[in-house]
Amino acid sequence: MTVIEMAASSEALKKYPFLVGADSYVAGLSLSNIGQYPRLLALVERKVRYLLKLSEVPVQVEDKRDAVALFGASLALVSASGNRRMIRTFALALSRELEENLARDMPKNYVQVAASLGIRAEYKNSFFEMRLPDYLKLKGIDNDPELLLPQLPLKRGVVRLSPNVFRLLISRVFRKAITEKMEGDMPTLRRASLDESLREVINSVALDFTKKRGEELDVSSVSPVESLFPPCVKFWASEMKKGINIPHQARFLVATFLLSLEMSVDEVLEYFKQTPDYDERIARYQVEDLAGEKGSGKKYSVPRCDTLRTSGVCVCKEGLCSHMSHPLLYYRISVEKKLKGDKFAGTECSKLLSRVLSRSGPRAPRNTGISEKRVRFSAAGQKRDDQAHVFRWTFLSEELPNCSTAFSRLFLHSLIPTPLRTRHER
Amino acid sequence: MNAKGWIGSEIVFDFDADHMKELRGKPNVKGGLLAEADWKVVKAKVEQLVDDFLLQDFGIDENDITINFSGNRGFHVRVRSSDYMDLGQEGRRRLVSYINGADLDVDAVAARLRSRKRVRDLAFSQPGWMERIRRKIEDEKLSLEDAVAQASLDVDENVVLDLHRLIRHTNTLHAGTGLVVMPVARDSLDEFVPYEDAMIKTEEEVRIRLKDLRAFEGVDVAGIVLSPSMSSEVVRLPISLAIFLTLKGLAELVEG
Repeated sequence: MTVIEMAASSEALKKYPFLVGADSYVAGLSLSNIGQYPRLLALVERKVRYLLKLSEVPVQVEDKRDAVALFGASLALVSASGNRRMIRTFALALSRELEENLARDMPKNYVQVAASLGIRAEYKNSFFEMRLPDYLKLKGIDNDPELLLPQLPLKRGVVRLSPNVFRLLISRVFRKAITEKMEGDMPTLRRASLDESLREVINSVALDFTKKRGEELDVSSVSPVESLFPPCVKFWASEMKKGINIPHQARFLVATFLLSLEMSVDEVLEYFKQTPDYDERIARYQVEDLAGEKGSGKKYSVPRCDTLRTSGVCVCKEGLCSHMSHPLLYYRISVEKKLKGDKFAGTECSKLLSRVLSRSGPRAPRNTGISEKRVRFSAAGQKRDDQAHVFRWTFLSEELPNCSTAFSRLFLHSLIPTPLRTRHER
Repeated sequence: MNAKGWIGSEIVFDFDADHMKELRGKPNVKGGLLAEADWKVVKAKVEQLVDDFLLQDFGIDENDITINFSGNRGFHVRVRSSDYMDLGQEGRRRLVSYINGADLDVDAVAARLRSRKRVRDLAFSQPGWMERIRRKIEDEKLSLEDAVAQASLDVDENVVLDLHRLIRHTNTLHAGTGLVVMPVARDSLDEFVPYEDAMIKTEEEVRIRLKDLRAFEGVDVAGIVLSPSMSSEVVRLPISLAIFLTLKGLAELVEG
């Protein structure tokens, strides 16, 4: 069956409304005229609300054209909200839905779904095979250890993936693609003159979403607290204060990190003044360049953790760091914790918890919507001073906002990762 | 001018003795001449990259790989395959993190090593990193930590990730040595002697006065074994060798 033929099949389109050729079913429909289709608009709103967990009612679609229209319109609606956090949440939920649909499908059908997303793979002997250059060009697959190359069988330029791993790969690529699509369309859609009824829907969803998730902590609004900096920034900053020349990538990290906390160029330069090769004129030019005040006008962003690991600038893999993907995330969590009186509460907390669970939790399947399903796990602590500590925590969805006590213990003593792993391996 | 733009770039690995931790601190290494044993260290890394990673794991066509003597203190390995020319930084980063083991989930490997035999055998029969670790542990009886350290290879990631880096062209002269930047076949890498094979072949001779050679005792330059007793001596040498020693600061030209 070719991709187009598959796209024509109603069942396939209901599950995978982004298949190649699918858009031919909704030619002529756009956000500017969706107001003329009240039934569809209502469907879109219900779907978006459901995926953002603002409503408990799942949306069933009977018609393939509805499914395709729903997909495109819901992306546009979320994008038009201009809320990046909502975009990310929606993309994650949609990608999980895709992963679940794939899990219920036969592996041989994955190839066509993957192809629609630009993933070239072959299905052979119950495994998927990708050419290495094709694999290397994929986006969005760097945050899951099981998707990284050393964990995969690799021989003569062919990467082999099990159906489980391939499903995860498809879902990650999909998530990245729709996130980029929504973020890319955001500026245009926000300016576009939209139908009054559509604007109302967008605004009410966005409002409810913000209310539910709580305001994301804007770290740049809090004056920088050095003691809460991630270990890498702390380490390299202190090396410079001691008058030691540090690698270029480490300087880049420190400068971009400080700039991202809305520090001025002068404040940032203070950190560099003790280095032996300090030259005010050159340093100022470089920091201004990073801040986007010079030349290209491009503001450089703080490198991600995997980049720092590759270049050897990362100095810590323990505790909170073992769950981090970005230095600023570490800082946000630390600040949040500080603001809430040393308790891990708030949005970053719950995100982190779901990450901890999905990575090391023996009882938490990857697709568990943490706030929906009850996730329980228990962990036996190690023996210490001849006294056995047994920790038993049960996290229920209702307790998530108050996960503070157990959570602060988790990181203050770095206890959870070890016992969890111990149990996992047994 | 609209057609102006980046077309692609080779994947380049730079092996320079100056940046190798095994050679750090040796007196004649920094900026000077390498002894035969030092060249062995550099060559071993090139071989590991080409054999284990580029050919075996990545399956890159032998004809797309060029090993170049860099003209000074190392080698460039260049991959010029149409499959990889347009690879962006993200993809190149994944290659580096594969080669140097940064992306290896060591905890997961340790967990598998402790698992039941069947699970373990299954996991470690997979080609690539797992198979390599299994060999190091079972055949060479190494600890997991040592196995990972030996199976991984430090490469200069700045060079690999840089999509705009200029690299010395094949068959040109290195301005700091006068040696020829020349391709070396994988099979003849062992026998390649930089200070001999990369000299321009010429009969013409000039006179030079050798300088202080104390730091280079025993280093073989095109058949001449340097020794401190040769300091201040005036010798007649082929012009290429004279240029090399002069540029390296080991000699000066004598008029006439």
